[in-house]
Formats: sequence, structure tokens, C-alpha cells
Amino acid sequence: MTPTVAAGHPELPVVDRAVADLLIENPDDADLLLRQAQLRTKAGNWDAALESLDHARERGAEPSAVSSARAGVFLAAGLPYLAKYEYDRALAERPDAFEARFERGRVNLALGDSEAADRDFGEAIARMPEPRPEHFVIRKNALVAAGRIEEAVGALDEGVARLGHLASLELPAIELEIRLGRFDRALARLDGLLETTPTSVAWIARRAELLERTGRSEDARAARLGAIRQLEARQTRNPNRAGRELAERLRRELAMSGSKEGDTRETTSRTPSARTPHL
Amino acid sequence: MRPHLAPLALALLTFSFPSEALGVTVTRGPYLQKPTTGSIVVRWRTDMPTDSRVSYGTTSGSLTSFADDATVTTEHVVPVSDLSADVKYFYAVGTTDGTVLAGDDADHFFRAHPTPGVPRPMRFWVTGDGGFADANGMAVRDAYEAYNGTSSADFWLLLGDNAYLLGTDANYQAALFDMHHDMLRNTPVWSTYGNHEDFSANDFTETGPYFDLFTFPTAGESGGVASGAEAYYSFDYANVHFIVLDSEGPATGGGQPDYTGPMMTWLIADLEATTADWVIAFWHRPPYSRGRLHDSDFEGNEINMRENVLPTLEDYGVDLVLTGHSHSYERSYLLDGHYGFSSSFDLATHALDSGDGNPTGDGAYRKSTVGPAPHEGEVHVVCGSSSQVRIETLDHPAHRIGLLELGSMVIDIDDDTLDAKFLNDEAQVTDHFRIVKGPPCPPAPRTGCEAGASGKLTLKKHPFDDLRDRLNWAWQDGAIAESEVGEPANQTDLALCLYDQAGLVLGGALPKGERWSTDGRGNLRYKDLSEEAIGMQKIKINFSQPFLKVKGAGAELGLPGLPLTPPVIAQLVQLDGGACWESSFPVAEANHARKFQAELP
Repeated sequence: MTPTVAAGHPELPVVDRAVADLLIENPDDADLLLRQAQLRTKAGNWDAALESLDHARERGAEPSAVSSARAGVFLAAGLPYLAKYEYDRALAERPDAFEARFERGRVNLALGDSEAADRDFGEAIARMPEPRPEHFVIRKNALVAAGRIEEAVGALDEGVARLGHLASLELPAIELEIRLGRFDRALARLDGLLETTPTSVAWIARRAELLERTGRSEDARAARLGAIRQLEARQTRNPNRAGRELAERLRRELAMSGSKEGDTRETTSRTPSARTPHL
Repeated sequence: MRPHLAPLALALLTFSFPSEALGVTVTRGPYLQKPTTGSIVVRWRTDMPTDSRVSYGTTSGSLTSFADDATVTTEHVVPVSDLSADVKYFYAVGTTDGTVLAGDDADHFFRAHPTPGVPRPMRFWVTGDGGFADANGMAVRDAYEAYNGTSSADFWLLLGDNAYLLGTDANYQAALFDMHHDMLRNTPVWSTYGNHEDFSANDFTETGPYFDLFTFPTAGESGGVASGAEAYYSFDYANVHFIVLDSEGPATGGGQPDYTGPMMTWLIADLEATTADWVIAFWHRPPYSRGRLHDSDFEGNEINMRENVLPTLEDYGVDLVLTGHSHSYERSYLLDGHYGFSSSFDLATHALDSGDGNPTGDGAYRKSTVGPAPHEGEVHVVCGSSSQVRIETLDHPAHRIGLLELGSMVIDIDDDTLDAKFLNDEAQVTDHFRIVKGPPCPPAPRTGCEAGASGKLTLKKHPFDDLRDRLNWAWQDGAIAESEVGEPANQTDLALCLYDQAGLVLGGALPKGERWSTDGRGNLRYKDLSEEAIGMQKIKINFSQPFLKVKGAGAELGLPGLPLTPPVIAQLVQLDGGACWESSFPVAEANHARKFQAELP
């Protein structure tokens, strides 16, 4: 695990000095000391960050918060074993600290213990009142890396159950369903997305590909025709290269899928007429 | 979205609270969040816990509708729904016993968003790094109020670092809620997450003051695709789609930034779905900036946004990118395709229009497509001087202008025209650029053009070979001044448009630049034997003995099938100033499948 690069934060010393000034006025402000530690961690100033955390603990900062912050320092410094030790301490004191638990999952992952990582991720997410797509995707990535594809789909499904049919969860799930050869399930997910965003021509085109792979050539053809019609309607108002290219690709795919000659001509004839000005 | 209710909330106390008797005071707000076409969220803070009521109505003094929340709390977050789009409602906040704590006057009002996709004139205010609650911040605020007069902006964009030094609740109270109290009660505010917010909040877990005090859409409620996150989201306002990104990670907690993760997956889906006329993106870290503390060649987040996010935005046709971070004002040319370090910037390659974009300077920036179209160019603005100016070098080559002035931006969009102004702390406009979208030739001829008393138009259509199509137009016996035509060799945009009774026949923009030259007497010449631009080969514009001659040929003309339906009108249009010259042919001498010819008088 490589340390987080601290480059690119030239402002941090400036802020650090300002926080130091604030601490002169409020030397017992444990919360401010925790923020100072966070700043110093971002700046790559590990020793100073740990010193700030010692001071924070002496001034009454919550021990689990201090341990979590120390873990953050070690993690950023590329010392995952020490980070795990601190997260263990934090979680021993506050088993409900879901942020620390999730971070320990990452440390476990870095240490090669994917089972422990998944356990931490899963428990942390379950405790989170409002998890984000990132939490589910990180867990999914860990499971995929461990070859546990089916469970990875399940992790994303848990996210869908809690957050809804987000593209950021459903699209990776579709990829995994395809890897598992479950094209019908991939299609169902895509249909769910299209219910929320029926105008997404790229998704319609993707749907046609999936239909083709399930052997439903006629449905694929219909999906491509639908996508082409939508594209042409959109092109009337917003002609653009991406739309033109996608329409061309769909027409090629239509032709390659062995569709009837007459039908192909039908779609071709919907291209802008010769009367369309050359703009 | 996630107010900390626990410390002061008495969630089980749901009885009507005698707030007036206890002298409850509003200590924050009210302020307006997450407007949609049918709802808005009204928020405020009280010094003592009470339940919540928003009373509202379309007539001031007659607030007959109300939205209640029985939860007893100091952090009041009340959604008001069943609103009519774009209708002005007056409101008051208080408690369910009918006590009014604030509002019920002419200054407390809100509007639900207008119908998405339908153009409507709009104005929004933009501030970046406005987090110092001091005289500088006040001067910027007062300058905007002086400029804007009595009208209110439709909404307000915060570009991050909204509350120095650490983005704490107390910092926000001073820099946002106390400083801008009057504006917040009637102007919805949208924000992006800055590095100073990151000192107190966590964009990965969406915890901390920033996420506690704002309510942003996560489920696409205000338009756009659901992001599932408040650190990045989108919303629609009339014919404009706004995208808010998180440039502080993005959102990976202790890990390295992941530009293949959920934010990017969502961004692509969101861009894919929008059909809005305009796409405006904003985040905190500028892809192009040159400052003493912040240099986009050296800071990782800036580099990451430029290399990983900007190409996607350009693929889908972003029009304007607003950022802050550097405490200065920097504004680019109309750019496309520059993702490297400043040393690799090449004006000829990366500036699609190297002019100033100023309608009173060398003309607006133009994008030929209304709606999202890839790589037609966008303007980048670093507006980070809304409460402090820092000595910066301001010499990033992507930028057309750099100013060390306190200020903010006022942006007006009316249908196909965007006007962006930098307003300094003395209420002076020190930069102005315009972007106009749409084809240079509208569907119907322009009116008010200078007609030439004499003229001739010949169109020849080859039966099977477009390369042999021809166009010749001559205009004379009218007035045409050099000052009206401008300098097409430099920055002036010209277009040629041809109409018949049914509408536009052919036309398009004539590229400015090296194809144009001036002869010894100041007359203009255009020459392009490759006929790349709408098939134009040669154009002559004489000023001393006014005449205009146009010669075009080939497939690029786009000459449709003949005959045409008179009247046939040929126009030369100066797009920046609006002057135009035309020949209108009411009848034709020849008009059949191979040839159209008409002459004046």
C-alpha cells in the first residue's frame, strides 16, 4: 500500500498556521485539534498529526474518534497494520462506529483479507443510516477481486434496495450479470433504468445488444428501430455527431442482424431528407 | 440533508408548542433548498426546539396553505409540495399553533422551478470562495445588490469554500447565513463541495456541517438522473441542465480518487439523458488556473478533473464550466480538447474561438447546435474572488482574461443566448462574454436587412453529381459599410443564408480567419478553392462602390432539389452586430429541376 501523496496541497500549510493561531486562543478545543490532525494528515505530516491527536486525547476527545483518526494517519502513511490496530481499538470502544468499520474493511482489503473486508463492509453498510453508492461499489469491487461475482451482484442489489435504481449501481450490476451469462436479468435491470430515463438512446442501444445475445433478434430489431426513431427525433432539434454516429451504428447492426431488406430501407429513408439545409 | 437532530430535538414531543410565549427566535434562515417544478424545501433554525409550519399563498398577507412537521426540533426542514411551476408564493415560517416566526411579508417568497426544457429568461448569481465574513464579502454582496436592483435572482450558485476557515457550522453561520440573510429567504441556493468544506465534512460519508445544512437532490427530484448522493447531483432550470460535481476526491474517503466510480458512471448517464439546450457544470477545483497557491499544473485534484472529467463533459457538449479555488477571476476562450499541462496548450488547436466573446468587443462565441453537441466548445470561468483576492500570476494560456478583483458573476440566459458578467466589488462589469447557440441561419429570413436595388442569383443543380452544383449571387446598389461588416479576417462572424417561400434552402457560417483578406483599397475578399465551408469559393465585398459577390460550388453547398418557390431571398449576415444585406427575388426567370435564375430589378 503506497502512502497517499500529499503533493498538490500548497494551501495546507497556510491553513495549518491559521488553525495553530486559533489553537493559541482556544488551546483546549479538542475538536479543533482533531481537525488540525486531519489537516496535517492531508499534508503528509504524519508525526505532527499524531502529536495533535495526543493533545486532543489529553483534552477529552472521544477515544474512538482519536483511534480512528490515528488509523487514518497510519493508512495515509502506508502502514495498514498499524491502521488496523487502531481501527480495532476504535471499534472495541464503539462497535456502532460504521465509518471506522468501513475503513477497517479497506485496511483488511489492503492486507489481503478479503473475507474480513467484506464482513466489515457489509456490517458497516447495514449500520449506515444513509449509505452512498460508493459504499456498495467499493464492496462490489472487493468481491469481484476475490472472484465472488454472484455475491458482488448481491452487494449491488442491496444498494438498489436502499437507494433505488441508480445508474451507478445498476450499470455495474449489468456488467456482472453478463459475466455470469444471465442476460435476461441484465435486460430486466436495463429495463428498470429505462423506466426512469426513457430518453437514453445509449441504453436502448445496449438493450438491443442484450436482446441479440439472448437470441431475441426480432425484439433487438425493434429496440434498434425505436432507438433510431428517438435519435432522429432528437436530431431534428439537436443534431450532433454522437447521435449521428450512434444512429449509423444501429443501422449497421440492423443490417448485420439479417433484417429484411425492405425494413432496412424503411429505416434508412428516415434519415434527414435532401431538403434538409446543409448547416 | 442530514441535520443533526439529536442534541436538541425532542422527537417524542409532538404537541403544539407555545413558541411565541417562550420567545422563540429564528437564528438561521429561512432559506430555500431543492426546488423542483412542484415543490421546495424551506429550512430554518430556531434557538429553542419547536414543531414546524410553512404557511404560503400566492398573495402576500393571505397565506392560506401550509405544510407542517410535528417533529420538535431546532433544525426545521419542511418540504412544501403541490406548487404550480414558476408561480410566485409568499410564505412564512413558524409553528403549528399558528405562530409566525419569520416571513409573511413581501421579501419572503419562493417559486417552484419552471417547466424543464422550455426556455425562460433567467438570472443567477455565482460566487466562489466567498467564505470570509468580512468587509470584502460584504462589498461583493452589496455590489451585486446594487447591480441587480430590486429584482431577485432565480437562484444562486456557490462554487465551494463558502465558509472559511474550516467550513464549520459557525463558519457557515457567519459567512453565509448572517451575511446573506436577505437573499437566502427568497433565492434558492445550490452548492458544490470545496476543499475548505472538506476540513469539517466528509464527502465520502456525506457527514459534517456542509451536508447537515444543505438539502440537495439525490433521486433526480429537480431534474436529471438520480445520483444517490448530495456531493454530486444535477438539476434542470427551464432549458438549462446544471451538473454539480465533487472535485475533492471524488468521494472516496481515505482512498485515492476513483474516476471510474459512481460519480463518473452517474455523470455519463446524466449527460446521456439530458436534452436541455444548455449544459452548465460547476465544481470547485479549476482545470485551468495559474495562481501562487493554486496552479492547475501542480495540484492533483485540478489535474484529475481536467484529465478524467473534462473529456467526458466535452464529449456530451458542456457549454460552461464554473469553478473557484483560486482567489482571482480567470476566464477562458471558447475551448475544446485541452487536457494536458499549460505548456501543451495551443491557441490555434484548443481555442475554437480565440476572441473575447464580448458582444461589444469582437463578438459572441457561437455554437451551431442548440442542445448538447460534442466538442463545440465551452468557456471556463474561475470565479474565486468573492471574498478575497490573492496575488496570482494569472498567465494560464487557456485564459483570455485574468483579474485580481473582488467580485462575483451575474449570468443571464434567454433562450439561445447566455450572457456572463464579472461584477467587481464596485458594481462595475469588468468582463462580459456571450455564448449564442443555434444555427447561423434561422428557419426564416431575418428582417430589416439592407436590400440591394440590383442583384442576381443563379443556382445550378446537376442531375447526379453534387460536385458540379453552382451558386452565384450578386448584390449591389445598396449601402454596405466596412464598420458594419467588421473584421472577418480576425473575429467577426458572418453567415450566408438562402431561403425560398418554404424556408431555409441552404446556408451556414463563413469561417473567420485566414480565408479572408483585404485588398489595397480596404475591400474584403474570401477565397477557399477547397469549398470546405458551405461550398463557398469566393466572396467579394466592396465598400467604395458597394457591391457583394458570392460564388459557391460543390457538394458542400448542400443545394437541394430544384425548383424553388419564390420569393427567394439571399442574405449575408454579420452575426455579431446583426447587420445584414439581402436580395429578395419575387419572381424567377428560370426555375426548373436544373436551374434557378432571378434578377433585380
